[in-house]
Amino acid sequence: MAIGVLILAYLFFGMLSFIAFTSARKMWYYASIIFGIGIWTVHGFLIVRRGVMAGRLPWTNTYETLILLGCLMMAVYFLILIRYRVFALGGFVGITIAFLLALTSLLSPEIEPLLPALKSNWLLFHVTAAFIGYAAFAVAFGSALLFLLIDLFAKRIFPKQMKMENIQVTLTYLDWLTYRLIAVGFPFLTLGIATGAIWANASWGRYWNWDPKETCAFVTWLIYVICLHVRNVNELQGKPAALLAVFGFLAVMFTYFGVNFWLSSLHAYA
Amino acid sequence: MPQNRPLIFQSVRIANIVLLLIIIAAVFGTLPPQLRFLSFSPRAVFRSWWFVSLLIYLAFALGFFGIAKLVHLLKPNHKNLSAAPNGFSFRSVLTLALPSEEAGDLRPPILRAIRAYGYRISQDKDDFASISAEKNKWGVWGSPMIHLGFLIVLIGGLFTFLFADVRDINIHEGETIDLPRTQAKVRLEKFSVVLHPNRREPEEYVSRLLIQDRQGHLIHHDLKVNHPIKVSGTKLFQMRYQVEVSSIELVAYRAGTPLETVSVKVGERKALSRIPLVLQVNEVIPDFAMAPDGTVTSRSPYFKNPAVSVSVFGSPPSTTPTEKIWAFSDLVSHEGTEARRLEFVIQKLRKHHISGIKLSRDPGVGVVYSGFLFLIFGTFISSFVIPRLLTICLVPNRDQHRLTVEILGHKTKDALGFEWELKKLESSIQKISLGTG
Repeated sequence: MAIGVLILAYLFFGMLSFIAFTSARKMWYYASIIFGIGIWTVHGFLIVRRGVMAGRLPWTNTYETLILLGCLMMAVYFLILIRYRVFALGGFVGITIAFLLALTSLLSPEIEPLLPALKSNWLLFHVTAAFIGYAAFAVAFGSALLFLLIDLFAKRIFPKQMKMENIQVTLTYLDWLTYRLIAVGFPFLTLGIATGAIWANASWGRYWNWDPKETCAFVTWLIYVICLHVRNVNELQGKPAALLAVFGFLAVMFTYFGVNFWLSSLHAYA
Repeated sequence: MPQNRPLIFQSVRIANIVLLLIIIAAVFGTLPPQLRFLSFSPRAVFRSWWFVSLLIYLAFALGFFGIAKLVHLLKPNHKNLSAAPNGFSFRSVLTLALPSEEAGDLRPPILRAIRAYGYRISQDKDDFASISAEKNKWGVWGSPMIHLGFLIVLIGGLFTFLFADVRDINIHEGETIDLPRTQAKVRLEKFSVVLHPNRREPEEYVSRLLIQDRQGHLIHHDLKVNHPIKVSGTKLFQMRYQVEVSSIELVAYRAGTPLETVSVKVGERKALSRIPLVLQVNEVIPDFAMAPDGTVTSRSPYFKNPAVSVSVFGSPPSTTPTEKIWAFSDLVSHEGTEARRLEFVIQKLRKHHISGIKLSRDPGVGVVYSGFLFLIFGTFISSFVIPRLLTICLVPNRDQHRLTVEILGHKTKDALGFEWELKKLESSIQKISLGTG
């Protein structure tokens, strides 16, 4: 029930943010921020409550990590808002979080006790770091997608209706924002992989098994290495950089979902 | 950067292509083992010579770049950021009104304004016309740390590949084994599965071990998951376990009256002495459950509601059983039905555990961990500590009581963020001339 209400609330937040982005009136901007803070607080409270009820960290399976990912995406969005005063991505963030929370309806909400393999202090560092990285990449994906959509609609479909100067400024900004978000997510993904390897060594006796989950996380890391390489060294910007960011996020999603459901892995309990 | 490195190791384009090849190979390696390509198993890719060659190339490229960058940074008076005219990412020109004949009166507040944004002034004090300021200078160490960190991880991986000894062993309860490559012995005294209260899920697997080290000292250790122990340089990890049912004691009942007790092993046929029948235990279900369609399953691997499938053969025994009966820990009867002619109850289920333990001697672990440290710090420094260098040129025009201030921002990774900061600095400097700064 609470998750259902949260889904509707995030959808409403997404719509409010989109209106705020397209409207010149500040009233919509303040309304979206206040509403966003409200639902994010409720979201955080639900996570804490589940943790208290379970007597453990509430991010040990796909159901719980979906909820965590939504909360962290919202945190990343607010950080962008505070630092750069940008709310262009509010619509995307709201709708994506609503979609992620809707996915939880396919999973069991029952609070399961912790399996022996998950009883470790590394659970906190490994999962938190990885999901902060995922959240930053998710918002970067939104920024890249918005870039591609504006580029497509403004330059190709409606070139006469749009002011090219404003569009170019927006595209430059979105391109830069995508890069900065990837640069923020990358160290956290690195931390997540490293702590995962250390935990694997303490639990399974090997820090690296070329397990599908480990390998897919490594592949995702390498994709973002290439993203940052081409950006910093070759100064590849614009559409190719946006496409790379989209591709990188697809790798993130496969690492998160695909491995759990389609491949046999030691991370099966996730 | 030194130019005498082999071109193959200094090309970022080649490095990106190699990374792409590693990605493709790794993706192939995650495919299910049943999918074979030209009789090549997916998992085998990670040990193939060409995959290892790609990693070797990567290691060399990382080493060349990392060391070259390190040498460059350690040289005195090196310049990290481009100061060439085409190396600027931001340029702004302000004209300020001079409060007096002396343009020098504006210099201190301009310097204060620059310092307020965290910049450190680095210029010749006698040169009034030009101010250079920088911040986050140590951010340049991020990149070599990342490359060298990854190299160290690969070196650690190589040590593991060449020298690690990792093996799985299974110890039965009561069994003693010699730990390989040590003079120690390990005996599994008892294996326990601790369940969560009122649940079917395990909370802990515990192997109670008696260890005799090379000095002959006897130590008791409880080996649990995520809590390895070290014995004479070998680490032991609790991995898995199996349960073997050694024998089952069944009590035969007829019309609710116990007839005799018989001990039998799984698959063994045994004749009853008091009645002319032969029984055979087919399978043991640890946690019996029956679906509405009659399918029998086990709800968990834990012996919470054990059941035994018993086949009964007439005498002389034939190949086809006369009936199949499920035996439980209690007599099960249904109201309204006649008492069964023959029933069985489990009196005792003798089982023993086999603990699956992993033994590991890996000299690469410490190397890999130090590589991780460099990688983590390097990525955080590279992403969050971005060097910025700016130059401010002051050109006084005493005749018109004006000072032209040119702000130049040098090229940096974070161009837009730098631009915003310089615009704020521009606005702060503007306020100086108005007397509000």
